[in-house]
Amino acid sequence: MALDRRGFLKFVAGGVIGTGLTPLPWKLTDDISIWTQNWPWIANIPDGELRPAPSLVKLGQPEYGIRITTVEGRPITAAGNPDHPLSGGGIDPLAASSVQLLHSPARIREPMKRSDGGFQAISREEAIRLLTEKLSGLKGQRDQVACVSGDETSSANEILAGLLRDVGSERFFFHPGDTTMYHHTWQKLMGGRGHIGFDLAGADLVLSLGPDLLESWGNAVSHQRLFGENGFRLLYAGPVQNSTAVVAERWIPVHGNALGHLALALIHHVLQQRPLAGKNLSGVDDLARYVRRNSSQIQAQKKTGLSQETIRGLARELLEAKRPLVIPGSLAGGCGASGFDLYCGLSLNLLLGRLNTAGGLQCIPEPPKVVRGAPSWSEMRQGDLLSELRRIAEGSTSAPELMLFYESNPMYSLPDKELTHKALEAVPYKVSFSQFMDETAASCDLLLPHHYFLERFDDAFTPFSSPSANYSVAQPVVDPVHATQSVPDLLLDLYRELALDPGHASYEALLKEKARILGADWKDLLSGGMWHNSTVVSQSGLELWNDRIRRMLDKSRDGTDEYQVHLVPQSNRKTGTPQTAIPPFGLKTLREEELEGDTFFVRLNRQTARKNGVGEGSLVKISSPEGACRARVSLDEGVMTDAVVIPLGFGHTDWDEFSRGKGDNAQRLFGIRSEPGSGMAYCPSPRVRIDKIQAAR
Amino acid sequence: MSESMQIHEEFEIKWGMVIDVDKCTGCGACQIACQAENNIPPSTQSFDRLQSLHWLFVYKLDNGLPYPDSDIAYLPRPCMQCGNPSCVTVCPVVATTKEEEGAIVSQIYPRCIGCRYCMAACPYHSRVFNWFDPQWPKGMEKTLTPYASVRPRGVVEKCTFCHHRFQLAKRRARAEGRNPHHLREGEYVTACAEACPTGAIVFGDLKNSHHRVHQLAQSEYAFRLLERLGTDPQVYYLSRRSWVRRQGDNHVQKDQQRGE
Amino acid sequence: MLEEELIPQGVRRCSLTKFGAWIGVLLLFMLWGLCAAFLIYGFGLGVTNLNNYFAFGLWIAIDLIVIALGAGAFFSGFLKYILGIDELKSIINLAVVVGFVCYTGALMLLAFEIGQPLRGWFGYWHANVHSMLTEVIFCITCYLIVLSIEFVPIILENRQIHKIPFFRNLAHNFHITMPLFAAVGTFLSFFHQGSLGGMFGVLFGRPFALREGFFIWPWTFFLFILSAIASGPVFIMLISTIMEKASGRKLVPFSTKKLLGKISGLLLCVYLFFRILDVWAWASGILPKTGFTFDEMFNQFYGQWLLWLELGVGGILPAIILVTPSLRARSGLLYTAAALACLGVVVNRYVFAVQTLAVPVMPFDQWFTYLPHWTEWGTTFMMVGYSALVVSLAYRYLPLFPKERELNA
Repeated sequence: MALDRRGFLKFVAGGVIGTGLTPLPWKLTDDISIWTQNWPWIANIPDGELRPAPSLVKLGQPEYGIRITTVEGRPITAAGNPDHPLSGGGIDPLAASSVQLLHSPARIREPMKRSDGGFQAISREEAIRLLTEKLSGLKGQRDQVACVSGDETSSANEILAGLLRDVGSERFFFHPGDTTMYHHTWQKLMGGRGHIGFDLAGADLVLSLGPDLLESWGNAVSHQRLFGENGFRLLYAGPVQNSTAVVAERWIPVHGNALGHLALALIHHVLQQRPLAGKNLSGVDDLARYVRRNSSQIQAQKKTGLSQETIRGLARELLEAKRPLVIPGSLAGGCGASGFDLYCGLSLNLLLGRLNTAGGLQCIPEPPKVVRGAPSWSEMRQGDLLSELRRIAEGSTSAPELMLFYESNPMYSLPDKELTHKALEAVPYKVSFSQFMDETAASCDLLLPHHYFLERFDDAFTPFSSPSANYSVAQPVVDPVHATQSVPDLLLDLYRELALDPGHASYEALLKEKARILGADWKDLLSGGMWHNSTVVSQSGLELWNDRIRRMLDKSRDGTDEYQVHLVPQSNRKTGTPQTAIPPFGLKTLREEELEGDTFFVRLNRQTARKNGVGEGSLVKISSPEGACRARVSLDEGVMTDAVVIPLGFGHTDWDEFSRGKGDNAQRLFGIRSEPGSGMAYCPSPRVRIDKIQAAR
Repeated sequence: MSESMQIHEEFEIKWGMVIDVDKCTGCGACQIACQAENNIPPSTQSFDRLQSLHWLFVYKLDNGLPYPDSDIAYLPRPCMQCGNPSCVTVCPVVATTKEEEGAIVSQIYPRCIGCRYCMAACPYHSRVFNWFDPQWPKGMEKTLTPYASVRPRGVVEKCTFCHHRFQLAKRRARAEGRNPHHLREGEYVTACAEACPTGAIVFGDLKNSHHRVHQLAQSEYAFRLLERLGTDPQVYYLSRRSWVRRQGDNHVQKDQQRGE
Repeated sequence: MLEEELIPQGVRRCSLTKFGAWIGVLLLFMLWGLCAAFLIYGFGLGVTNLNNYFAFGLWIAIDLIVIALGAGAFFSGFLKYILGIDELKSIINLAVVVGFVCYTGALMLLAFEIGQPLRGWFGYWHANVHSMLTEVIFCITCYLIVLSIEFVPIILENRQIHKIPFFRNLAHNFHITMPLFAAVGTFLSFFHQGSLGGMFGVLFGRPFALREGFFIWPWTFFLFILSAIASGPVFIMLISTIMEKASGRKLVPFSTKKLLGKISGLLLCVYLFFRILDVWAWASGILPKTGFTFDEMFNQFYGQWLLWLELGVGGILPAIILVTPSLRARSGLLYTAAALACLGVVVNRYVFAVQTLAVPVMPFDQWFTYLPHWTEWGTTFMMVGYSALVVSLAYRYLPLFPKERELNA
C-alpha cells in the first residue's frame, strides 16, 4: 500500500473536512453552550409584571415608609419611599433586606407548644384555646399577667394593655430604651407633658451627646437624609468615632459617663454668657447655683477630659448658632443613658430656649387611644421593665403567672443575663408572638407566631425622635407565607372569648378608627403617605429643679470602678435590632475587622492595646462584674484611649445560621443600675478588664 | 503604555457616579440593596473579600494617625466602569464589553469561561468569581428578581450599574414618546444610589450638563481611584479631606494633587 | 506476543515487574489528582485556595513553567531542522515527547483552572482579537497539533508497528515533512511563548507586571520567548540525564549535552541582559509613573529575595557556568547549572503569575498570601505523573535515543 506525500496530506485534510460536515461537532457545541447556562440546580427566575407596593418597616427603630417591588405577587426588593417624610427615599440595611427576612429560615411556621424539651406544632384553634384557658384562669387575679412589647408605636399595644387591664393586670411594659427613658425623665422627673421630639430639619447646629444619630438612634434614616441635605452642622460628642462622628464636622472625644457632665459644663457657660437664660423656667436658679458649685471650669475639665478651651468653644458655637439643638441619649439605643444624662441635655436645650420652637425640642401630644378599656399611652409607658425584673429576681415581688412577649426578645437583648434570666425563668407560663425563633421564643411554652410586617396590617404613631406627631400604616403586600396569624386580630378574638368587648371588629377597623380620630386620610395612608400634625404641647409644670433632681445630681459622680477600661456599646442596623438578628444579607456586609468566622471584634486604639498587652488580632476576654465575652482585637484609632468598643447584635443562640453563634452577646457585660433621685433603672456602660487569651497573629 | 492596552472610545452617554465620601456613614444599605437587586446570594459567613460574592464593597479608610488625630472615612466601591477598562481587552471570549449605550462595562455570564484573566487585570477588585454554586435558604429563592440571571459557579460577575434599570428607563421614555437617549436626572439610578439615605451616591450621565454628576465630577474635591493607571474610571469620589483624596491614588513623593 | 518484542531492538530495559511497580507509583500520584479533580468538579473551584485576589495560582504558574521548559521541543526542532545542527539528532525525539507532555499537561491543568471547562472552545468561536490570551489559546492548540504530528512518527517507530507496511510508509512521510512542521512549530511557539509574557505585560492595572513595549507587544513578550528558549534545551538535557540515572544506561552523548548547555548559556546571557534592563526600566520608569516605589512591590513573603534568586542564582550563575567551556565540561557543574537555569525560569513565571496579584494596588488595600491547596497540588502531581508515565512508556517501547545502542555497546 503506497501513500505518497500528496496522498497523506489529502487524507488528513479530508478527515478534518469530513468531520466538519457531519452535524456532530455543531450539535455538540450548540448543546454545550445551552447546557452550561441551564443547569437544573441553578434557580430559575420566573418573569412577570413589576408592581410597587407601599409598606411600613416594622423591625424596631427606625420605622418609616418603604416601597416593596413585587413580581406576580412575590415581593422581591425593598427601597425607601420618597413620598414618606421619614424615609425620603432612603432605606437602612435591615429594611433593605426585609423582603428576604420574610423567608428567613428562623421564621416560626405555625403555632407550637412546648413538649418534652422541644416544640410540637399545634393548630391555631388549640393555641387560642390554651391561651384563653390561661387568661380566663387568671382573670380577676391582680397583676398575674404581664406583657413586654418591643413595638413602641403600634396600636397593638393598646389591645395588649387593654386585655391585661381587663383581666386585672397593669403589668404592661415596653422593652426598655431611650423612648421610655425620655418619657420618664421628661414627665416623671421634670414634670413635662407630651413626649419629646427633635426637629433636626429646622436646626442649624446639631450637637449629639452620645446618640449615634445617623445609624442606630431614633429615625436614623430620616436623620441621615436631613444630614445629607446639608441642612445643619453636625457635631458629635462621644467615646468613639461612630457613623455619626465619621461624617460630623467635628468629633469631640468624651467618655460615655462624662456626657452628662459635658452638658452641665455647657450649661454653666451658657448661664455665664446669658445670665437671663431660662429665667421663666422654674428651678433655673437652683440649677445655676448647682453648676456654679459643681461644674466650674476646672471641675468640668477633670470630669470630661476636655480642655477648657474646647468646652468654652463648644458653648460659644451653641450660643452663636441661630437654631442649635442638643441631643442627649444612649450610645447604642438601648437604655445606656441615665436620667442624669437626659436631664442635663434637655436642660441645656431649655436654657438655650429651644423648646417648642423651629429646630428645637418638640413636645408631641400623646397618641389617641382607640381601645376602650386600654390605659392611656402615658400610662403604658409608666412601666419600668428592668426594675420589675430585678424585683422578681430578688423576690421582692412575685413573678406573674403568665407573660406575653410581643415583638420583643428580652432573653437576648436585655442586660445582666443572670438577673433577667432568673426573673424570666420564674414565670411559669410564657407566650411569644414572635415571627422568628428568637431566644425568648425558644424559652416560651406557647408560640403564636405573628404575621411578618409584609403580611399584616399595622401602624406606627410618631416613631421616637420624630419632630412632630405622625401616623403611618402597613398593609399586607403578600399572602402569609406560613401558618401565622395577625396577633392583634387574634387578641380581639380573645377579648370575645373572654366575654369582653374590644369595640372593634378587626385590627384593620381599629386602625381605620384611629386614622379617623386623627383626621388622616385612610386611602392616603394605604398608598404609603404619612399623616402628620405639628401641634405641640405647651408646658405648665416643667421644672429644672426639684428634690429628685437634686438627689440625682448629687449621686451622679462616677462610682469607684473595679476596672480601667470603659466599655462602649455600638449598634449597627446591618446586625439587626433588639427585635431582630443579623439578616442573611447583612452578614455578608460585615468586614474582616467586624467578624471573622464565629469570632467578633472589639475595637480599641493602639495606646489602650499597649496598656493591656494586646495587639491587632489578639483573642481576648472582656470581663465586667456581670459577665464576659470573647472577641478579637481590631485596632482603631477612632476610639478613645481607655475605651473598648463592643458591637451589639452578635452572639445569638437561636435564630438561623446567619446569626446563631456569630460572636458573643455584648449585653452580658452590662448590668442594671437604679438611679437615685430619678428612681429609674438604666444600663450604664461598665468598666471592663481585657485579658489576652491568645497573642496577636 | 502599548497600543493594545488602549481601546478608548467615547460614547454619547456616559453613566457615572459621584460618591461623596464625607457623607457616607458606612451603614451598608447600598450593599444590601445591591445584593437584593442583582440576585447575589447570601452567605452564612461574614464578608470575605477572598471568597464572597459582592459587587459593591464599603472600604473603611483611616488617615493612619494615632488617636486623637485619627480620622476615618468609608468608601463604597462599585465597578468603576472604566473609560479604558483593563478587563475588557484581556477577555479571550468577549464576555465583557464596554457597551455602546451608556458606556457601561457589561458582563455576559453565558459567555464567560471563567478564566479569571479579567480579575487579574482589574486593580479595583470589582470582579468576583463564583467559586461555588449560588445558594439561597429554602424559600428565599422566591425573592429572586427578574433583573439579573442567577450565575452558576465558574463565571465572573461584577457591578453593572443596574443596567436593567437603564433598559427599563429607556423603555419608559420610549413609551412616553421621549428620546430614550436623553433621560432626565433620576429616571435611571442604580439600586445603591437609590438606597443611600444620606444621598452620598449621586448617579447620572457625566456628559449631560443637566445632571448633577456632571458638575460634581468637576469639583475641586473630586478624585478617582488610581487615575494614574490610565483606567479613566466613571466613578468619582468627593472629599474635602485631603488625606482621603490622597488615598485615591499612589504617590511616590509628596506630589501635588487636585484640591490639595 | 511477548512484552520484550515491543522493546526496541538491541537495547536493554528493566524487568516488566520493576517497570510495573514504577508505573504503579505514578498511578498513585494520578489517583491523588483524581480525588482532587472529583472535589473540584463536584463542588466548585472554591475548594482550592484560589480566590478573588489570587485569580491565578499554582495551576497558571505551572502552565507557564511547563510551557517555558517545554520550549526545548520547538527550539531543538528549529536548531536541527532549520539550522541543521545535526548533533541534536540524539535528543530530538525526547524533546518532542517532553514537549508533548508539557503541552498536554498544561491543557489538562487548564481544564481544572477555568470555571467553565465545557465552554473552553468559546476561545475559538468568540475569539477576542485584542486579548493576549486568545493568541495563547490559538497558538497553543495549533502547536499541540504540530507536536502530536511530530510525536506520531516516533510512535510508528515501535518495533511491532514498524513491521506494518502502511505505518512504515506513513512514518516515512511524516519524516520527510518534519522540517515543515518544525518551521510551523517554531512560528507558533514564538507567538504563544511571547503572548504568555504579553498576557502579564499588558496588565496596566497591575504595576508589578506592567511593561512598556514594542508596537503591541510589551517587553515581557520578548523576555518570555528568550527565557523559554534559554531554559528549554537544558531542561531536555536534564530530563535525559535523569533518565540515564534512573535506567543506568547512557542515552545521550556528553558532547550533545555540552552543546545544549552552550546554546542555553549563550541565550541565557542575551536574556539576562534584557531582563536586567527590563527590571531597571520597570523600577525606574513604570513604577514611579504609576505612583509606586520598588520596595512597595515586595513584602516579607513575596520578598526581593525572589528577584535575586531569579536573576542571580537562576540567571547569572548558571549563565557563567554554561558559557565557560572548562566549567560546562564538568558534568556535575553542567547539570547544576542546567537545574539553576530552569529554577530561574520557574521563579520568573511564578512571580508573574502570583506576585503580580499579591501586590495591593489601591492604597487602602492589603497584601494577601497565597499557598496552594492540596487539591491544586494533587492535580499538578497528576499532571507530573502523567508526564512521567508517557515518557517512561516512550522510553521503554520506542527508540527514543538513536545513539543508545552505540553508547552502551
